[in-house]
Amino acid sequence: MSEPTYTASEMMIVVAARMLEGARTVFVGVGLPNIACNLARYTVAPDLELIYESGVYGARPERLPLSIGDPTLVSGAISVVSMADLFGLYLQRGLVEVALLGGAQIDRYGNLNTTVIGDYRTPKTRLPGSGGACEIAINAQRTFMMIFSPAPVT
Amino acid sequence: MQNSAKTDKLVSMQEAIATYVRDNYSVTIEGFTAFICFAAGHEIIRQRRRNLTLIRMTPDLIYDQMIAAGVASKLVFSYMGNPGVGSLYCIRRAVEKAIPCPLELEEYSHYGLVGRYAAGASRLPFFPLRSYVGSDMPAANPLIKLIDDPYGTGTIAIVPPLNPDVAILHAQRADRQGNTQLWDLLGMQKEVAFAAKRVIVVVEEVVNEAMVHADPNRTLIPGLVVDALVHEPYGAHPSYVQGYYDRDNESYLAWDKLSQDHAAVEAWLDEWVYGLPKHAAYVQKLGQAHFDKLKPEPFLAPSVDYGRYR
Repeated sequence: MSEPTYTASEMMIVVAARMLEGARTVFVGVGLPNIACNLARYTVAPDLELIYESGVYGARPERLPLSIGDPTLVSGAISVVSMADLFGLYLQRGLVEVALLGGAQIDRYGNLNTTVIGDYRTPKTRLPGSGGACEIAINAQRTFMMIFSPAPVT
Repeated sequence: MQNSAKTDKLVSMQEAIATYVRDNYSVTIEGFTAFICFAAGHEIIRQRRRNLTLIRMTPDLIYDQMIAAGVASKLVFSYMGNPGVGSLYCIRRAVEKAIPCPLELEEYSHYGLVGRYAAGASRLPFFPLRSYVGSDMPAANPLIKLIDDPYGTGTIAIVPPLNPDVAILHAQRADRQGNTQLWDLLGMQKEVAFAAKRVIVVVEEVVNEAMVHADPNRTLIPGLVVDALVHEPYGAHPSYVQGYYDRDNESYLAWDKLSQDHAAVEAWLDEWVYGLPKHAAYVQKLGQAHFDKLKPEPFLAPSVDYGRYR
């Protein structure tokens, strides 16, 4: 068998993008989800509106955003609002069909860890923290995760 | 400072920090990837403040630098990272190894901290939100509480108000009374201005009053809540200000490598913070050509007609 001409990341991005087929709204997470959601808009979900926790509804990025806060997400967007409005009026109101998120660790039940590895008070590794993930997972109609698993899932 | 309608609040960054940021204060330099006032953070380091409680939803490079410099003993946050790049190694060294000193953490999700600012801004006793149910976060932070909704919809999370001693907020422009206009990712800039006990606004441009009054919908922070105004062009570099300059991503990538070694961070602080008298010297050291490369091409919004009624 010949070597694949794509990376594992690229395959994950394509698969995730295809899962957004027909969706109207997606809450875009940090990292690979950012790329997958933008790809979906160009392919399987042309009506997809990208929602970013930074306060953007209906982004029209002209370059790949460096992170979920990038000036290209503001210029040309449908609406840019405060984070109070984004979390209250868009997310908690129930307007998010799908959330596509990344993370550090996940178990087979979908419990997600982006906080610490080891004891909370004396962590071996301090991770970034929840960001919006806690309320996004609770309030989005569906939540998809993209995570690298260095070892087989146990 | 007296705060009448005509008070001229324009001061230097040195004076604003010396007057309003004291040891042991709680301080927020807010901004969600945009509007992050590095110039103020560097001045706080230069003035060697100690034992601060730093507050921000998304601590990034400037808090990494401040914590490496030893200004803070506590961090209140909801997501810390070098955005789009990786970890914040100085904060991790403080948390994991107490270098240069221990750092206490108080942790929320974004909406939790949004709610704390919102309650603080309108002086409410708590903010209810649909979050945290099923999460381990309330166990890690007793200020997050789950209660029974008195109106019978079941369990609801609440968070208490947050009123920082000082907020430092960057924006595009303001008049000399501190009436401030911004357009960009808005983060919680407006709410934080109303929540904090003292507010320092830092702007790219100081404009005349007529400019503000011509477009009142864009005035998110009134001078009524502003104590000091600082004019500091490129004061948010290497973060960005919509329409003025782009994020300087090379700086974020360079910090990712440099910050993995505490000695290298100390050398960087000596060269770029302690070794310079003020932000204008930092801008001069980088050179105007550096900033010219970060200037976006124009993308003007059409003007609107408010109408004149008399």
